[in-house]
Amino acid sequence: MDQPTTSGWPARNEERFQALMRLEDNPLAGHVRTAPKDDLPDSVLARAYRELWLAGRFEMANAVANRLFGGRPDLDSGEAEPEYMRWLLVTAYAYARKSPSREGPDLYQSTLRQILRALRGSQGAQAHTAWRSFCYDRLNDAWRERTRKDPVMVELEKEDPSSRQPLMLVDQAIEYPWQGSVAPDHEEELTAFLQDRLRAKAKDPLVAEIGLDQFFGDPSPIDVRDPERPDRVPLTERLNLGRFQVRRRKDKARLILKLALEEWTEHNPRP
Amino acid sequence: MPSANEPVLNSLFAQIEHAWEEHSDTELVEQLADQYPEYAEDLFAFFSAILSRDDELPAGAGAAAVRDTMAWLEEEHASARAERVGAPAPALGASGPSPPQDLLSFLCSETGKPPLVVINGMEDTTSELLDLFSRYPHVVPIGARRAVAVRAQRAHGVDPVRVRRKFDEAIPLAMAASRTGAYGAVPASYEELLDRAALPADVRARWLAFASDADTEE
Repeated sequence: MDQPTTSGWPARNEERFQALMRLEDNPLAGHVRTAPKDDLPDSVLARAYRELWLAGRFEMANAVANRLFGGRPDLDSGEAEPEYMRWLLVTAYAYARKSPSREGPDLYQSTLRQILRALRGSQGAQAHTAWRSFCYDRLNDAWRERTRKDPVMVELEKEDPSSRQPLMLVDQAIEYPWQGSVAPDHEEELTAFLQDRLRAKAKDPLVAEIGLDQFFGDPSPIDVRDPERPDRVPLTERLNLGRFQVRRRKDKARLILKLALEEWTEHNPRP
Repeated sequence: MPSANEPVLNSLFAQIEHAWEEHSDTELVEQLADQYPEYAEDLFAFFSAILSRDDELPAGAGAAAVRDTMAWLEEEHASARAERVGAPAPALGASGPSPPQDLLSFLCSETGKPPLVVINGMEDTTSELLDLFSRYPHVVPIGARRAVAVRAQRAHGVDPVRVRRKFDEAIPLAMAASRTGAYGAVPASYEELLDRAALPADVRARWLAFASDADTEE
């Protein structure tokens, strides 16, 4: 590992940035378009965009923005996904999943616009030193501006043994038309379908195990033993995981189940 | 919840991010959550977000996101370039009044120079300071506005009256964009604005002095 700069930014990124900025326009544009992602970290591109734009090298700044927010042109047909910002897209969808308007795509694009514009202003001066944190802040700003309320704490629930209940995915589907609709007499069939999908889609077997535990039947505590039911071993203890690791896998299981629920609804429309 | 008004939380986010990127550290978030229980959920949510790269997305969502992004980026580039060089903005579909120029865009437009050249030519001026003046003109005192105008005239020959007028024009827009509560990032005072600009002490002192000098350099 290399030594960080005084700002906490890794020295290797500082070197990459300086090397990039020394390039003339044509080599710079070519490098930005084709270099492997590992050679061009997102924070280096973010800083390069700001500096190029402030220096009036607009075409170069645009090439950097295209790579950072869009991706490598030659990968479009193969991957067709945001190369650097996929994590933000996933998070935008997670936020939007809690909203009846289901505005994941719009929220993501609003966030990218906020990031781009902030990079050109005073807010962007140190953005590269904690790039993910900077983007996450802009996502929250975009969410507030779109919804005029604080972002919901997606996927995180306080561990409260007295109120612990299984998540009723099936009931939600019936209650909220925007999430899909399912005839009640298909509940058993749907439950089996969701469990099968969870087992099939979860690459990590612990995701399936935790999902089956938490979302079907009587869920185990995550990390706090219930004094009234001391026989129920918390998942952290049973699986030898930290509580974040358990929550993270639970989040993944929930996402798989929700996508499976959408699939079910699509193929079994309610009359 | 994450907010520009919560420097502690942002600092914790940065620590988590650095620890993950440099050491793939998944334990720091748990330690910080124990240390700062009031932020525990925010910290877990943030860490979950930065780890979510490989999570499932609805079919086609990634491709649609790239396509939409490239479409607006093209417009954004054209629009930003036009603003900076003072060229007419290209038609981008819906018609309507042009957005008002901020102070730096105005100076670039008047001089035909790129932002960094404009800023570097002006004494005691940084991009952060000009950006903050542009965004929050209503907290900039008359004396400081005059100082900006004088510097723009000296360095680039821009009419100082038009520079001062730019502050007045921008005020309604800045006020309309002002936010309150948890997401209110508007500086409460000129002093706070100068703090945010992170100027060297002697430069900050000069800008502070301009504020109380009604006849600054005129």
